[in-house]
Amino acid sequence: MKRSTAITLLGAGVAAWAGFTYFSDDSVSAAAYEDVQQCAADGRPREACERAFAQANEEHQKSAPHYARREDCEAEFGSGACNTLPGAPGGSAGSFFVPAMAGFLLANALNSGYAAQPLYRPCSDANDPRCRGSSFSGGTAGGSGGRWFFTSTGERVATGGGTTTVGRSAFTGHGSVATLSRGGFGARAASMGGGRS
Amino acid sequence: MHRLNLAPRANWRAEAERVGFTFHTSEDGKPYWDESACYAFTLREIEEDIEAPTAQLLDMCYQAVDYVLARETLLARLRIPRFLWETIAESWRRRDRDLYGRFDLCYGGTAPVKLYEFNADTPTGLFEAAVFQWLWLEASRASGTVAANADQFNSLHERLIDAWRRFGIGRDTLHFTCARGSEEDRVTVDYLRDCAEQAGIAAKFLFVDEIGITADDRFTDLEDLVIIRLFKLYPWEWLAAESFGHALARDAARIIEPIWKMILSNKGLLAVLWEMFPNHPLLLPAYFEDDPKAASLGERYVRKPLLGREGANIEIVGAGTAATREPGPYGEEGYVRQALAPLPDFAGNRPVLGSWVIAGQAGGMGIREERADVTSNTARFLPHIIVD
Repeated sequence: MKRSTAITLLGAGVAAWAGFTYFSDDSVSAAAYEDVQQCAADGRPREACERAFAQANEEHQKSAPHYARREDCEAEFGSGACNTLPGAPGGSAGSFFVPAMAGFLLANALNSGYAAQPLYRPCSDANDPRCRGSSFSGGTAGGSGGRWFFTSTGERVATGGGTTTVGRSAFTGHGSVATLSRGGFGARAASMGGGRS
Repeated sequence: MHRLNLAPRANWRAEAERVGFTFHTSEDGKPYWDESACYAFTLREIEEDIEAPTAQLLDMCYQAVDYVLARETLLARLRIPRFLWETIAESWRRRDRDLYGRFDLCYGGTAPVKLYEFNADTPTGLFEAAVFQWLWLEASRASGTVAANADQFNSLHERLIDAWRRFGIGRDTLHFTCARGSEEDRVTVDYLRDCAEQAGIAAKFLFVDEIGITADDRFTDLEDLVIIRLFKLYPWEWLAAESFGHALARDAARIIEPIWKMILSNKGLLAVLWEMFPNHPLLLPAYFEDDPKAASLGERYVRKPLLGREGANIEIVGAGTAATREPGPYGEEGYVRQALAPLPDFAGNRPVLGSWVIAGQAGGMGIREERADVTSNTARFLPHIIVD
């Protein structure tokens, strides 16, 4: 038989799916690395590791947590860990302090569409007078010697290879974001009336 | 292959509306869905003359993506914006999955089919082929209008649901979008969304002009949530040319059809295929208009804009025939010329076969019919059957 055996349509307004909240653990399988070498040593193609690093660095430029004062940044990430970011978002160039990127996180699924994300090392040295004990998003590094890292959305992950699980927001950002404008698509259709073939 | 005159069901309009096929009749009252006739094929015709060549053409098209990406002169000739070249190459290297496409084929019962064009980016006519044509067959078998064992080349619905399952969308929300104002586009998108939901995907719709952008070039929906995966029934070249187009270089991985389809949805593909596979039996000779070899087509040929849709601006050029020119807004970007292969003629009716590919495989067919030389958006959709 060359045809479908049965056809069912859910029909318009399948509102039952809206929200989809019964999947409470909205999670993504991922791996965290401190650098390209560690990533390659974990058995991934070096080229993929380099691409992930570059992608994470690009995200870092855009979404690193930023602070108006150096001491606020160092309180979270430690002495000497923060620098100005040229052209930081939300203010005049060079006026914000951001932590250095200390690693990167990549989603395991091929074609996930997720860009690799930057990771940051929380301030964990008890002898560092600047260190406030890492209140960054409520996590603490404890005694694990800096092997804990944070995503830019504040989720804690361990580096060193192997699979870890993070919330989807680690890749997509928190829930809602600031929409700058709308209406940047659709002009051609409005002027021509439809676009199909 | 032959054409059978049939008595339309008395209630076909109500049946169409019941399943959401609202554009069954055009604005000027002419039927778009036309069950006053159907085309009948043998299984051998379907499998050997249509299904297998469709698979072969798709394979050639995939080879053409490699071929074009290796030649910047061709990317330029296809008028693909330079700022997207690397994004396209990366999307192809990643093998971003594609959902669907429709080959328009010249066939009147005699092999080989000839490729008129490939609608690789924004094909429509899907709901009527996948669903309403299937429902028509069920009803027509039951009423005795067609043989009780009549089959159809149409596993589109099953294949679409299966294809969505394999996209790896997981628990992300899949957004669907199209332009405002086209009932046909909206029905197509709603149907694909229905299939995605049946595959367990959470889906949401918004119009293309409702898409928002953030300061760092992410796309957002009306609730200010970042759009993670987007299915768009809206031409890639329009998105690229519009004011949010710059952000596509960043977000292309999230969009279906994938951005590498820009290479295949361009009518310049016809010239590229002829260059790659000269004299291939499934192809018609085709050249870019500015290629001196275009003169080899002689006095009669078809002139198609590189980025045209729905037959608009297609022109049959030739001595001895009245000039046939479809009006429309396309053509600024250049033209290809293709050898003329007249549509087959069934007592004045001129069908073109639309052979569908879903997730890389041939899976069904829809037929559009016109009483003119160029198939335009006023062509009627006729169902088909397989009987031996």
